[in-house]
Amino acid sequence: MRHIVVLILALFIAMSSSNAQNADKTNTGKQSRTLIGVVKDSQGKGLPGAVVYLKSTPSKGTETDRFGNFELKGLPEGSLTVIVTMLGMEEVEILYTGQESTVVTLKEQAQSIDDVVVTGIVTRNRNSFTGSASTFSGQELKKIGTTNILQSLKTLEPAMTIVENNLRGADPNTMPDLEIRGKTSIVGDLESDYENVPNQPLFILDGMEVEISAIVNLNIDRVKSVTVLKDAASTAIYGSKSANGVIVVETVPPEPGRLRVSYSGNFGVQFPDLSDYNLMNAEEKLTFEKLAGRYTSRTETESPEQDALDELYYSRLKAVRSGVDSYWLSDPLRVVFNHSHNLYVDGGDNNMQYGIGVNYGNEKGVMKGSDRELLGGNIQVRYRKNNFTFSNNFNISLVNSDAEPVSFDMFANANPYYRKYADDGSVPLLLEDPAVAGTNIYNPLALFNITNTNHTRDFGISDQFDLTYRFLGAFSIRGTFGFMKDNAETEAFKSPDHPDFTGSIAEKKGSYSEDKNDTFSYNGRIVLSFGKLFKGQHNVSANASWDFSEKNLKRTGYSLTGFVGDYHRNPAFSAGFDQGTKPLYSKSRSRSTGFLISANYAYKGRYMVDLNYRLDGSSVFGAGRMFTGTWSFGVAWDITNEKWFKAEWVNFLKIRYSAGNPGNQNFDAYMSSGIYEYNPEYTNIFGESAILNKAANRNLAWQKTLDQNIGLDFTAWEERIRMSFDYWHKNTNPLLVSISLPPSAGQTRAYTNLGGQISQGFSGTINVIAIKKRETRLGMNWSFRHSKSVYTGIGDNLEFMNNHGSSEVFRRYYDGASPDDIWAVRSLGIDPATGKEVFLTRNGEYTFQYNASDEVKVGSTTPDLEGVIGLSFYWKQLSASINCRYQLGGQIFASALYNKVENLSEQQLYYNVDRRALYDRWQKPGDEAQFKAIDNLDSTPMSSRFVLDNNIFSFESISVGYDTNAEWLKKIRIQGASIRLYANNIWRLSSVKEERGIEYPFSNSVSLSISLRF
Amino acid sequence: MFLSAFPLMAVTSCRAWLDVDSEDRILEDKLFSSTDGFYTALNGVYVDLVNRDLYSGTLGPLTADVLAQYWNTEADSHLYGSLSLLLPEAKRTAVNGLWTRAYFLILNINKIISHCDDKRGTVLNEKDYSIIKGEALALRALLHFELLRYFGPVFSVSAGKDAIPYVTEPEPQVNPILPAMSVISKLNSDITEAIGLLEEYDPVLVYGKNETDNSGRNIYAYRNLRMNCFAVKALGARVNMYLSYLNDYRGKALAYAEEVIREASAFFPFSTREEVSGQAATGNVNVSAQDRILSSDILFAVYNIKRGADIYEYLFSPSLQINRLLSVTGSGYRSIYPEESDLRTYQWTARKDVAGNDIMCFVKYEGMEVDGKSYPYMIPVLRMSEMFLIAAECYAVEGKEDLAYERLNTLRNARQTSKVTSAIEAEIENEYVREFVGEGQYFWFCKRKNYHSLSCLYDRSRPDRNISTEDYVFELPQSEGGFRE
Repeated sequence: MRHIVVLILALFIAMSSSNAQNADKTNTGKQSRTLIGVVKDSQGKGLPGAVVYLKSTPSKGTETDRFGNFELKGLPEGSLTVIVTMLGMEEVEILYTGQESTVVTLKEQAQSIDDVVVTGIVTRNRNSFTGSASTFSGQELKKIGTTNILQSLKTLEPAMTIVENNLRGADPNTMPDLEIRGKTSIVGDLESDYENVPNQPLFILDGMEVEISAIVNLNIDRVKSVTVLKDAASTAIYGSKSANGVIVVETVPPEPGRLRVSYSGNFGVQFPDLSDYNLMNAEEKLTFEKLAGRYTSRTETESPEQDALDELYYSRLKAVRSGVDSYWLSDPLRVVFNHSHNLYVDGGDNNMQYGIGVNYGNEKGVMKGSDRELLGGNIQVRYRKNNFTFSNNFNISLVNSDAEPVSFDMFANANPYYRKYADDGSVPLLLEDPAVAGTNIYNPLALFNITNTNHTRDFGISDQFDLTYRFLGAFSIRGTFGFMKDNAETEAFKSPDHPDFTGSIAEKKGSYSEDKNDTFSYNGRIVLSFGKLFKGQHNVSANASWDFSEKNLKRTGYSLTGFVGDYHRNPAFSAGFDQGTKPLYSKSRSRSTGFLISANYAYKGRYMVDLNYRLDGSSVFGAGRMFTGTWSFGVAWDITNEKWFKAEWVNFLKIRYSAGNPGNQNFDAYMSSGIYEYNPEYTNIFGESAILNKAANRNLAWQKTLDQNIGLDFTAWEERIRMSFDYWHKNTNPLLVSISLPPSAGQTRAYTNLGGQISQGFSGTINVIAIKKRETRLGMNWSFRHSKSVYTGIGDNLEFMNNHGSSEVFRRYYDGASPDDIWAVRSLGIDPATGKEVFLTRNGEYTFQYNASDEVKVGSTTPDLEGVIGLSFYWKQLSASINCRYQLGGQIFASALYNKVENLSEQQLYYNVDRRALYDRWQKPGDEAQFKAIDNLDSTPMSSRFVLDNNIFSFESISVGYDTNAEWLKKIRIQGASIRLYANNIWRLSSVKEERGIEYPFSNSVSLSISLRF
Repeated sequence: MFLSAFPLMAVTSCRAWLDVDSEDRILEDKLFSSTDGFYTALNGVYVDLVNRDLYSGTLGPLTADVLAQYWNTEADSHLYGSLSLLLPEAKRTAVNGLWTRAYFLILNINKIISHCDDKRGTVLNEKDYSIIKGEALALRALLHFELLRYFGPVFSVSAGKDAIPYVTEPEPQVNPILPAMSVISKLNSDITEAIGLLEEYDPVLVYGKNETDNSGRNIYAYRNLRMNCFAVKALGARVNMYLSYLNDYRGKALAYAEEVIREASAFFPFSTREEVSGQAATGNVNVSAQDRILSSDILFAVYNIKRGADIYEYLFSPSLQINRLLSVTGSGYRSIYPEESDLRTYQWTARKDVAGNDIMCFVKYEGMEVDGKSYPYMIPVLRMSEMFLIAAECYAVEGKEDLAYERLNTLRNARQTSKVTSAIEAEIENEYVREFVGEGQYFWFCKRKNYHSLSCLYDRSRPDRNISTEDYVFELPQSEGGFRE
């Protein structure tokens, strides 16, 4: 490895010295006036490699020697403006009127976040960047909310979405599912053999690759900036890992100055959102059951069976009449008070800075028993001496999380005509005598009280060490090395009293399991950078980097059964291992390494070219090819820097184009080699045995994607209008298709190449400052996004998948079809005469008969347009903002409607259902009903009747803040303070009235944040 | 030039670093890069044959024997009650796993076969090539034949009907369903090819089963636990006997059976009373060392180290709930084994079930440990006795009664029962009933003969079970049928 570094070094030095010589030659000419000078940094050290040139004739220039001295010869008459510039330093203009010598002090560039693109490997000047990337500061994120970075980011960045988790709702312990620019193009179901969530972007925290949990757990007050890299040109530096985009997070570094203490606290109230629930009350439920035939014997009208049913009905009716109407939904829920705190102390002088921070967060979930508690600390040290910069970041974190004992749907299902409590106030385990009800109906409230815990304790430390050395002015070399260690321990205990164990022998009652996940990973990177402005007009920068990483995972676990009670949860009190089970033990190690060469050239700030090539090596098990190459290039044209461009009102106008081949090439590689698995269960006298784990398709070609992006950045009228617009086009060909096979093929799923997929879309943001006065400012922001994918070249090859189980799945494969289309047989509604559904055949005829071959495309899950629209307002130190999400033109298959209004089996009559099952179902001839006959318990095929327009408008974030550094604060030694009030997801308007959050409900929150600087 | 040299160098030096091994998995190409790897893959198939969907259940002691009415499933809501009544839903669920698992193993086998041909002469020498490919072909035929018996038609009625796919491709793909007769010809060609390969090098031809543990991989030992040359010939006899209504096939079956009897009798002698009683293993009569499966004449068995738990504790142990226990009544037992001297009575013990009823408990597969013996773990698949029965039946049909009685009585004598001299066909059938309890052969005897009633073996006083020709045929699993519209 060392050879390579030396080699690159030599190469760069050779390049630069030849350039320097050229520059010298051009400057030897006629003798006239000469300016001698020295360029120094703020500490008085001479700066080598600084470029000095005439503003009027940029080709007349020189650069400083290794002591910082320069000599600018052959200067023409008159007063001249001389520019002194150096990469990473602020540009300085000096007036030359004939003086012999000058001393120029360059200050280190204090770049604002808007001016740079932090790629995680290098920091790039935004103006010369040709890719599609957006950067947000910590303050911007905090204006949206304080929950976590990703929740705020989704409001600001239109290309990123958090897929709504309809199952887990607002569970604090469920990690969000993120997508940047839609889904990866894999057709068919993905098997879990793919290690990561397939559409998850890559996360980089302070230059280190981290898991999504590290980002979610990061206290928002520690964030300096977040950059989202979206197109091939900007993500190519991360190679094949970055196919789904990259999110780069930088934390706040310590600042020099006297000791500063800053504190910020977030306090919030979170309350469950049950507005989408529409369940029956006791009277309604009983009426519904009666009408649905729950109390009508199917054999004869006069039979003992009918008598029993009558008795059951009247006993329940009696209860209802006596006032029993239990509302179950609120029982497991609570309004919670959450708070988090971040205390940070930093200071130091110009040579050395340090920062120490601690943070604590308490995030209780709206379901009782679900908690999340975070504790973290960090120590940062930075040291600068001459050309060396050294920094070290140390982080420590502890996360405790608990899961709720009972799923929320148990409560949503509970019938309102049951009493929660017995007459003596106790909570009975069964809601009804099994002899009467025919089955055991458990009281969810009683289950809630039975111990069923799941506690995870996750402890992690990480450290990152960074060394930068600048030399020869134009070069820097930066080495980064980091490690991370994480131990997650999950303990689950289920009480022997739990109904799961009813009827089991004593040795099997109760269960305990322990699971340990140990992760150790390290990574390192060496970047050699070169950046130089030649003759004032050719800006060249280049980077070569090498990185490596290793990740070790060890998972161990065991489970025990047989406990006497809740008190002794200690494993020593168990009866022993669950019979026939073995302890869990698995170990894995993965390594990766990559080489990157990237170069950027800008001519007079007008034309920019970016080139990247990365070679990725990875030890993904089963990869046929270890190394894969990713390339990208980008060009941009900054029109405002053109000489002929005279429109003064335009501040900035840049057009960009980029193309590249991102790809989950590792994923493809994995598919192309067969894997055998050793059999740990059975042995014989013939030694080792191995069986096929996954058959390979040797003829599989790699999925190739060409990702193109066209973008436009525009600023006008003193930044009163800012616009950014991107159009992207992804062509994947051939496509990797996961097809299902009959079992006789030996494997029920196989991957093959077929056809292609074209995805295209656009996204953009527009910011307008409508009022811009000295103390008042009113801004409007609008972001939007649309995308569409179609299959090409599939032909009728996947016809068998279109036929297979067509009434249960929506997706169809043929040319021009989109992966997001919804397919179903068209429905004309319910026939008022019979209460049956009327279908429309392909030929436009009416029929009662459902036939899967009549299906057509009835909608698409992709909205026509979605995004965020918002307003922001500043007046003196007061600021307010409101951001609303809108989603227009998409459809959804209303599964809750499908499952809780119709399609109720006899079994489901035992549970509470949607009120529309009573009010909107057909009852008697003449009823104009939306849903089929109330006593029809047959299963309903999926028809267009359940495909609804899904238009959404929600208030995602509203916040009001006040900043002050008033005099009275100073008296109590506070330098500045800010306070901000938030309301998140406070109101939601949807065209689909449907239950959301099945196992865990959604929530709304109101919160307050206070920041103090001492 | 430097630019292109640098990644090249780097790539080569990093390749070694990136080559990370896995403890529990291995790449296909790496596995098949050594002879040892081939044996590991082949052993993978043998080990997986003990799956409960295969020889520890469906193909062994469970499904076929329940169908053959061996077991009393009259208890309320008995787990296998509806299967013994041949109800369609029960039949469907009973064989779902068999279909998937068998074809999965067939894919494994096809991978081995295709690699054998690729690596012949490079990785594999002629001997290992012949043994590995021969055994693999034989296993492919064995599994296809098991599937054919379930899902194929009754041959004497409709031999032309579609039966099952015969898969020979090493890649997962959709394979056409072949008519039953085409499956038979593919079976015969695989069997012939396997015999051709094994006749050259199979150590069984010289050393017999060779049950000596040489503390290595025992690659050439324990031939009775591998598809050896004789086992393949016995399979040939069984396959062709399944079409015994056609003279050609019956002739082939007889030829194979006689060949095995002639060549293998010395290596696979019938068990003696000393062996069965445990005396041979321990020096004195020892219940816990009984060779109840009569292992000596087994030509091929699968080896299940958890046989006791997987089979006995799961199906036959009297401590099981009565609605899942498989047992026979005392009278049923006596009508199966009229002679007390019968060695096969060692497979049974009188016990009480959990409800206190007297039952005859099937202890053939009870777990036991006997040093240095493999019979506590064996589940018989092919045995010598079947060859005698096939030969006897063929002779009887051909009118060669003397030879038929001679073959049958050789077996009866070996099992320590008396000579028979009349009703040859009925006696052959009775011998099938006695010989193959827990081995799933008798039901296919009935299917071959297309019987329309099955007697209740667990209790002859119960009425016979009616069975139609259609009842003998199993529907393709739904997961398969979805692709076959």
